[in-house]
Amino acid sequence: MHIPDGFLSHGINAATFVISAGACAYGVKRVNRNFGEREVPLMGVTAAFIFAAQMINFPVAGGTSGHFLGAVFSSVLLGPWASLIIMTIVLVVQCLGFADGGLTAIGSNIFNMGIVGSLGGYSIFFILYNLFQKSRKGFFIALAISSWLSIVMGASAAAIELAISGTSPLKVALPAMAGIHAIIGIGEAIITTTAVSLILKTRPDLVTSYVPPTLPSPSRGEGEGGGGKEVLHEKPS
Amino acid sequence: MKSRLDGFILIGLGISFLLALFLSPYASTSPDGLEKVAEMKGFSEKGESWKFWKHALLPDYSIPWIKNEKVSTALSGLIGTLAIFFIALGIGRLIKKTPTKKIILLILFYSLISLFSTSIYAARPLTTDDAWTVEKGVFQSELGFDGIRQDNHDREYSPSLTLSYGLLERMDLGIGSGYLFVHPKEDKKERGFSDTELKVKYRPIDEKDWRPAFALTGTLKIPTASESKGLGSEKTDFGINAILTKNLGERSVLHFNFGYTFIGEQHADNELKYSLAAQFILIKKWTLVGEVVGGNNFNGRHGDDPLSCLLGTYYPITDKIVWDAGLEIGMNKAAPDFRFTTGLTLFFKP
Repeated sequence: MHIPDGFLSHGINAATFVISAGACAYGVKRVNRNFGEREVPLMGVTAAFIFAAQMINFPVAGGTSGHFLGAVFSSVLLGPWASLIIMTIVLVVQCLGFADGGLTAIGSNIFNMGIVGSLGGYSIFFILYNLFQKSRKGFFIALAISSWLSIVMGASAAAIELAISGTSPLKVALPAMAGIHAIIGIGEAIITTTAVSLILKTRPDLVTSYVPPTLPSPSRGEGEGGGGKEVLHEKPS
Repeated sequence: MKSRLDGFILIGLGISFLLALFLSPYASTSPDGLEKVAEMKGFSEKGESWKFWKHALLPDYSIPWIKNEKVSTALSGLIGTLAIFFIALGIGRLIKKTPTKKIILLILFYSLISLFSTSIYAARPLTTDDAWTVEKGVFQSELGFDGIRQDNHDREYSPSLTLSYGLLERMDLGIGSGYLFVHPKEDKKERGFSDTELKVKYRPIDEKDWRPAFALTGTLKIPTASESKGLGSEKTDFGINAILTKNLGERSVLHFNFGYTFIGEQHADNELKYSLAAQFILIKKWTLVGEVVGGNNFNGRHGDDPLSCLLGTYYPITDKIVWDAGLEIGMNKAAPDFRFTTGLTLFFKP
């Protein structure tokens, strides 16, 4: 859902740019508070994995393709604010280095995938996980639903931006974007839950958001990091 | 724990590389969700390629000079994955080590770059001003870095940022400031913001036939630098400058400046400044520049009157971004021994 140049009005571009820059600045502050020696390389690997995985478009219905986003995935590992920073880095490099996603639309893309995807997706995960009283099963249900929703919500945000820009009316853009991305989101949910469960099996300490049911310790959003490493185990072979 | 983590990083990176190398070339080429919607709802033609895209390193995940599509995609994916790893690592380090305030400043600084543009030409690395004004409605931003060695071998480093805006066809407004790091050879190191300059430029006369273009600038120095740290005078200065610019043939341009500055600090003499600069297009886009800058403060002591010359070059990386560098050499004791400067000039139109 990388929005190219020309789809959005300058007003929307400027507004989302300001919001995204502000959120990133605050995100840096939050991450700064919790980052230790471990998290830095984990952040690097997570970003690299997300970038590589985003290149792999899988086909969905009707001659359309979609790809992994990784917003909820990185939030669950490193916390939502670090995830926002990771998404921002990935989007900026994709835009400047690979001409993927518009330069003028960079604020909107960070807003849709970073703020809505990471922060919004993680909030939903957090609420659901607590509703399920932090059971192991609840963790994965919350993970699947929130990663699916992160795609649908991000696409809906894009549709709203398109509508405000006068590119496509909301009643046309919103159902179309949400509809297609509801299917793409299933792929996101499958990849996210598989990857996180693999990491959980090998290195549970890297999944910050997961609280082992036996240990009554407080759940924390950030701090301890996780990386994309084990995730990768499944794929190469 | 640390070593196990290292192992994980390697495995993670390895798997990312495998994904980029072996899976990405076989990714679906169908339009993605947004592209599909744009096609179906008939607004896909609204999308425009950003002009800069021609200059993206690896446009559309391919290496331009590799013909085999799959190899091209795989290699660009590999390069991207590696680059992202190091960028994220670097930013992570930066976040971990640096106080937040600085990072926010950095982000603000760099977010200035991420806008876009129309084109003209830049005065950097010269200190001599040109009679041209920034095109109406266009912003011009100059990011500079100066390194100075004084005669007594004190060193100063100063990153700076200026922003100019073409207010009218013949008038622009500018504001600029910087940050100073002073490393005296003996004394203790100091650092802080340098003075802020506000500038108005107006060009009443355009160049025509034999007649050079003529412009005037008014400069107001706002004392934002600290006096106690020895970075400024904490007094407001005001200067005017007359500028003549004349094209000679197709490849060279001459600029002449004659200015007078009223120094706000008591017991300090007002300053007269003059300079002559030349630009010469060497090959294609490479331009060589040179200048002689002199000053006089009318106190009868010739040793106080600085004189220096500068040689430099600039090169337009794209039509919105110009890179430059220059070396200034002091011709007498009143001018710094050496000054190295390099910077970027960016043009953008909101």
